[in-house]
Amino acid sequence: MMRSWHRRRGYGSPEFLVFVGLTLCAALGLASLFAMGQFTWFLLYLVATLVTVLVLRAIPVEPGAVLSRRPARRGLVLLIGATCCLLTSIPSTLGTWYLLPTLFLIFCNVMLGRATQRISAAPVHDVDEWQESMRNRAHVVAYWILAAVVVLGVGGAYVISYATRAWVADSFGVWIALAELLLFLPAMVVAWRQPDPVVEYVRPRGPIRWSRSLVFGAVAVELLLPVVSGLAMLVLPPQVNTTRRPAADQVRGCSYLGAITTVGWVFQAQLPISADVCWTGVRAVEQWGLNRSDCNPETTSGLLVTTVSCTRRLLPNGTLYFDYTARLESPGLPFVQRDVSLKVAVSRTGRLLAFP
Amino acid sequence: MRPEPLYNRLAVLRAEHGMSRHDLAAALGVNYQTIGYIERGEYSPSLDLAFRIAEVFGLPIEAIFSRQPMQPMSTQLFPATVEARSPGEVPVNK
Repeated sequence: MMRSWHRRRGYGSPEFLVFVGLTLCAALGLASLFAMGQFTWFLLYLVATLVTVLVLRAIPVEPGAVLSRRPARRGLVLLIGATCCLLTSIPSTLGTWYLLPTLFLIFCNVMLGRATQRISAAPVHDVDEWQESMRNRAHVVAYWILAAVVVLGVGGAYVISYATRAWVADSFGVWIALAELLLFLPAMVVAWRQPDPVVEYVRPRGPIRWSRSLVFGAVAVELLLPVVSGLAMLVLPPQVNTTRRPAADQVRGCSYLGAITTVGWVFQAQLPISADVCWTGVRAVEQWGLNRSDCNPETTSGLLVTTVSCTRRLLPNGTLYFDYTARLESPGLPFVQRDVSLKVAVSRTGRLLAFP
Repeated sequence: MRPEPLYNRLAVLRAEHGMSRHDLAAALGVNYQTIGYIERGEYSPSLDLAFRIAEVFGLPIEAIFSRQPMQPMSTQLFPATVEARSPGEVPVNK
């Protein structure tokens, strides 16, 4: 028999303790984002997302006034379908453009779970017989829809031409859309088929539990973090940390120049420039540094960094001029770009004409 | 094969016992929406659930569920009285 739908979980229950433990891990992981590299960042973000999904699944939800209505649920299903079509139409050359529709898809899936009370994947003891029969029918329908999509869509694309085959093989969005169908199609069918609930009955609103608020807050943070961070990369002024000191070579006039420009918040990139520059009175020369190999980011965390220009010139008046311009792109906001330039110019007399 | 509709007087019995759908759902261990779908004839309960509903109201299953449309309780309990009375006639206490 199904457990009481409106069961209470005490503060000492295993689920609560697991929730607290995992939330702490996620919080610690997120708090240490600032100091870690890209791989660790994404690993932590993934762990935080998985923790949120697990905790979210353990909290019973009511669909609410809007999502309980069949037109709203069907609209949500159509929205998910449209997003999947959009994902499949994104060419593989636009790498970061996948992330925004994928995040939107995650948001829609959370809403879908709320609309269907997650009965399509709930444990057997958490659903009653009507819900079980509904999801059994949904799984049958979903199976045939998925089979048709795979056979006619993916299989057809492999057969039609080399171009369509390459499209399916290279397009990351196709596989995201297929994963969406594989994992959430039964829930979509439930949302589509489930009749309107009894309208005259309004369940009294209970106290809002902090754990529920917290987990929905975590969902919001995980969805908004890439977007906010992308905007921060665009808006926040770069933080520059410079060092200038005399170099070891005292015969000629030499100076060590070092600068690290940090751009962004959470999603960050550190662009370095460092060199030993000497001057003879006739011209300025580099002892080391200011080469093409120096045009690389020190660290990147959640940002795509590409080199726009990397030039070193010795001007006719003996001035050494070096320019490193990098383009920063956020995966969360692929249409947002920012060019950051690091320029070094040293005159033949050792005067610093340009420096970050 | 599409199942035949199953009529019930769940709503009347709930009202008699002063139970909300939520109360009945909690007593049966099901979702409250399931009660609503049964009442509206959109879902036919299993035999097990039908027996549990009958136990809650202390009635035989056939008093709650029927293959035929349900007659009002008054018609079933006092058929002669109801038929003799003309429509709109108000009974007078003597």
